[in-house]
Amino acid sequence: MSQRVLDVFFRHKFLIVLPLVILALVGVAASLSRQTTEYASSANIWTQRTPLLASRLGGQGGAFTTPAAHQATVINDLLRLQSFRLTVGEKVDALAGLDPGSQAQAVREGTAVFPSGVSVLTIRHVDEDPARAQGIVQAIIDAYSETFNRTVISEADTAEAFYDERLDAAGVELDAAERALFDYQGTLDPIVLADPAVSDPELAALQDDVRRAERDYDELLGRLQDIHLQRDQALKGRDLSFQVMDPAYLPASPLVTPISDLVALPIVGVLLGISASVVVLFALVRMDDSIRLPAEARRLGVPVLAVVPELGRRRQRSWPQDFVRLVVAASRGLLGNVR
Amino acid sequence: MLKETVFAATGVARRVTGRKSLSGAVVTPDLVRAVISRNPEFQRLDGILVGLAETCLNPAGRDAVQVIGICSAVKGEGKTTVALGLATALARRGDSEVLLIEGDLASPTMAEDLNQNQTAGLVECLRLEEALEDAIKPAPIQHLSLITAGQASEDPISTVGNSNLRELLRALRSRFRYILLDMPAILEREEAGRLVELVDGVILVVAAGKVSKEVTESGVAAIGRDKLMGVVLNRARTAAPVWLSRIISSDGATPVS
Repeated sequence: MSQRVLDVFFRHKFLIVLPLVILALVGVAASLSRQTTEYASSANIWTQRTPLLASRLGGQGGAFTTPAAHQATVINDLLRLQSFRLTVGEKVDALAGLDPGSQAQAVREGTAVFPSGVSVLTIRHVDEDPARAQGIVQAIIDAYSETFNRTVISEADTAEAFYDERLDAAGVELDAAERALFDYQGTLDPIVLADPAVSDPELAALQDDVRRAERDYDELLGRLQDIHLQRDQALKGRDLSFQVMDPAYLPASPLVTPISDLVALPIVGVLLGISASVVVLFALVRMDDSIRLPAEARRLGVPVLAVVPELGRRRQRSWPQDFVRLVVAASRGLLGNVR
Repeated sequence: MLKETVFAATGVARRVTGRKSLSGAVVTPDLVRAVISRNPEFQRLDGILVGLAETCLNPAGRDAVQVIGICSAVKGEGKTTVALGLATALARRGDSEVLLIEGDLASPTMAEDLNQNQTAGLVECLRLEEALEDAIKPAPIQHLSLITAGQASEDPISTVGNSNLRELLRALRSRFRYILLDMPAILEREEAGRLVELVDGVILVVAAGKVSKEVTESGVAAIGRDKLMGVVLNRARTAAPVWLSRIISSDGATPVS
């Protein structure tokens, strides 16, 4: 059987190898057709938690989430929103010729936002146009910053109103405590008041009230000042919890396609081709039920007296050989006629 | 050398003329000399035919044979070529006279193949139109004689069917040590079955890759295992490289080149 398979293979080698060659070429062609010249642009952003405001865009994240991971989650969520993508698309000059739907699609496709460190967030976009890759990354940063700052300002305004009201209340409370202490001190004997060895429980309680009221007032005042600071930073676009460290750049050279991507389809084509060739080989073996080998003749149950090899097989000439022969014969005939 | 390579010469003539059949292949001495001298394949073939002749002289498990039929299942498997080659090999031994009879009466080709005059042959002898002595012609090889078919018979069955052929063979047995009968295809011509009855043994020529195994088995059955001496695998050729075939071969046998 093995000799028959071997014989059939070499007898029909071109037919058998044909599927392998075709499918391998198809794999190569498919691989080449998938290769496009793409450019990647990215930006790195420094993120950190802010203790100033309890809530931020999307909250502060859990205790087990890094600032970068939290911000990446927020930006990815925003990119799922059509409105945010449209906002980004409007900011990219290179997308100006496209309709809003195509702009939003261009923003989403090829964009990746991921933490590349505890506090470092990377926004990356791959596109056939290097300017578009850079523009989309920068537009995402701008749109997110605007959204972020708008939220900060809004929260700061709310917090300011809240703390202003509490600060007023704390001021009133402080005034009342100081007045009560002053009034009580007026009722005491100056000698007793001046003697530190004499303890007056009521006096001590009033003094504690004043100190607590002062502490509350100072704390509220400090928070209010922090809120003012953060709002000013947000208004100026310089929020400390979202700082662009490496801005989006214009890629100078296209991405290098990984070898694995280049060879994957050709390898699949070769494997399929080998399978197809094996199928063709065994189909040919099955279809040929003639006697070709001495071992097959012996299976007839009679002696094999001799095996006469095929002799004098006419070799197939290729068309170039025929053409050369024709030219030579024509030349000789022409020379003969001339002479 | 020239006379010893009739078989090769017919093959060469066939190659030169580009015809698959021996019919019409003209063997000339110049042609033989020019091609054989530079073709070692024919030397090798000669060895194979000598080995076949030795096998026929000493058949395993059966009595010695004198009249050997060369047959095939269907037409075009090379039985005439093998018959001619075997006759040549037997004659070259030089110790006995050999006669080759063309038994395909319906479509004779041997006279033309061997450049013999198309005169009286087996048909005329069986019709008692010619004497046996006139039908026996010397071949280009010493110790080898020929009886060609003569004029094509329109009714070969009845020509073979009469008792004259049996009588003719009886007469020839006393004159020739070996008589080879080139028979028609056993599955295609009815008279082939009658010829099988007249010979001592039959060699079945099987052309490699030409007919299916079932057809060949039918040919074996039609001849009968008691008369069948064995098969000659003709035109055997493996497309695989010899060295690779030798590695693959389970019994270590030298593959067909």
